[in-house]
Amino acid sequence: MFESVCFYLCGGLMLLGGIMTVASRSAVASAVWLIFAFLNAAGVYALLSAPFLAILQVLVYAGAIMVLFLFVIMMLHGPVMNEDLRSRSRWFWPALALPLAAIAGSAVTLLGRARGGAFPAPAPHGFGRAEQVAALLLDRYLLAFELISIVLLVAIIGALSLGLREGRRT
Amino acid sequence: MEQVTALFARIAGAGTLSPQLLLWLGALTMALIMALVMAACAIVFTWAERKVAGFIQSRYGPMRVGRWHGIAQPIADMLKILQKEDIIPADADRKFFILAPFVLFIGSLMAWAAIPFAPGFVAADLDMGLLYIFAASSLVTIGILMSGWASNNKWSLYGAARGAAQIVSYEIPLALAVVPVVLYAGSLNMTDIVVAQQGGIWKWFALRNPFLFVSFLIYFLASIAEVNRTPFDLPETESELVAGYHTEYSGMRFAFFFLAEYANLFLVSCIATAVFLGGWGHPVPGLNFAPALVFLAKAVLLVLAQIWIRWTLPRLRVDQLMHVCWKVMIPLALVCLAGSGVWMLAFVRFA
Amino acid sequence: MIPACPLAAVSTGMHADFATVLIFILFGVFFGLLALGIARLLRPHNPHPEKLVTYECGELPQGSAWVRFNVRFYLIALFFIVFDVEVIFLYPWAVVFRQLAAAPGLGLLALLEMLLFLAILVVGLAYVWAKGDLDWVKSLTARPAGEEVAGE
Repeated sequence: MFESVCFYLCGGLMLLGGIMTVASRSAVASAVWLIFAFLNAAGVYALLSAPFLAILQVLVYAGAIMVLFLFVIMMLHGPVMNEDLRSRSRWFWPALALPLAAIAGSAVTLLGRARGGAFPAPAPHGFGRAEQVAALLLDRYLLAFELISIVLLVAIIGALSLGLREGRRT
Repeated sequence: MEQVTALFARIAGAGTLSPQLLLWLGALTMALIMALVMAACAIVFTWAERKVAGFIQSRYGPMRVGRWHGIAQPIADMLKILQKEDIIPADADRKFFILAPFVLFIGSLMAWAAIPFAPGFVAADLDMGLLYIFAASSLVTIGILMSGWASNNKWSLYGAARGAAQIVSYEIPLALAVVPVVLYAGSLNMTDIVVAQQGGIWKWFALRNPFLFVSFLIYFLASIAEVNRTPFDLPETESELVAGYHTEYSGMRFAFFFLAEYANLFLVSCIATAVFLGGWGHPVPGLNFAPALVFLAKAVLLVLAQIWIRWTLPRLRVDQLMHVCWKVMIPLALVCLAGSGVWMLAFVRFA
Repeated sequence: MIPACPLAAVSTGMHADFATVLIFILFGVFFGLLALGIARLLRPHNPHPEKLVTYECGELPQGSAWVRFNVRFYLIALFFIVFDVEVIFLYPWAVVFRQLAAAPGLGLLALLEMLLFLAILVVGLAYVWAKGDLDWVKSLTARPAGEEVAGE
């Protein structure tokens, strides 16, 4: 009972964060709302017995990627941060309507299906812990795991060349 | 937490409170205790810092308030700061200006939830306590950037950008230095990590093998950078940036920055104690100290070492700062990690 | 277990720990508001427009502080994300390494798997290093004269 209340609360706040991210007129406000949405997403993960994912959500998204976003906002011309110069694009309402429609659609489908049983369904023992993630990473998904490092390497090189181009242009 | 809930159960009489209610009461009490620990950090360490600084510079430091060596100086400062006018600059972004100290304070308070001071005395004994602490303290970066941006003050913004760049850079060697410990402990749970170090000083992870000792040094130095203290105090260099990201803050809002700063200083020392220095275990066999006191004593010693370093060393330049992090600490931490792995396979036999 | 309280679901294990975290967050908000509230009762309130001027060495501030920042900060944040993700992938491996090391052969295999993962990223670090992008000063000298770039 309490867990479902928390789940819907976190989910609702996450949606609010997402909507405010697109609706805010200042770039920094958008970024802060996005952090808010990420933190609530972490709450949802925690409630769904995925503690590793919940912590990563905060550590990587809220703590690392949002720092990058804030730096990017700072790196762009100052006026981007100024509320007056950022007007609502004509795509605002379609952009808002689309996810809302998607949510409504999935809510209708899920509500029709979800009858009985504990919520959230009890997770198998040890589910979502680092050990389980490791067992999968080092065994079944070993190739994908090693490929991740190549993706990260490409990310470094890509970031560098983009940064250099930006650096030359400034 | 178990100890706190047990205490509540004893006061109320067995069976009168449901276990759930006990749990909530326990959590609330732990939150209160941790907030008080944070406040105590600010009070004790500001005084200690000024006395140590005085000692190092051949002067007395505070001497007047409270008769004995200015012992009541922090209390007087606190009362003074409570009465200071609260000023929010007209050009500041009001919402974020108000929000930023909260983000800093809550990020710090959250991290305290997973510190095991004694067996059973940990608020949230999370399976992934170590990662959780890193996640909670990563919110501090957001708070710093937010405060700097919201102030709309050049010094604040430069300080915040520098602070964020420094903290994120040093988070890498910090997190890497801890991985060898996880290799040995086989767990991310803070209590498990401390328990794995019980049974004499040679069980402490800092002394298990030479690579781990280097890891400990890397962690210690990176943690000084994480809390923005000299020689890594570029975000708040008083000689060029006034006060860094909290230049525009006054009164109680400023106090929150101050509180979070000293609390984080103690927090990184507590993490070092739990992860590298055996937590509540002490080296003298046969003696029975209160575990929490042993833990606190070690952490306070580390804080004193940080204060000592602060008042001894000059400040790094920004290029030196980045050089030390990316070209010295990260490669060294990677070597220590690989070395520890090889050491474990070569010399350690697991049952 | 006595299901006497509506919070019965939050009884044991992981959810209890995260409930504690929730309590910590709520308590943090409460503590902050309480401290600010007490200060509000005690402190003076004498507003004056000059007090609300942004501090800039005692002069009137020149322009907004929200100026363009050096691209270097963005690069540092990008490298940070890459290495942060790398370190996070190390943690699950580190947790199980002890168990694997106990079994003959498996420990070496696990170590090699991770060393390969690390080696590829070390190539990335070496690349950035060789390109000179870990030197903060490079951007200072390479920058065209007269460009206003803040933050160093």
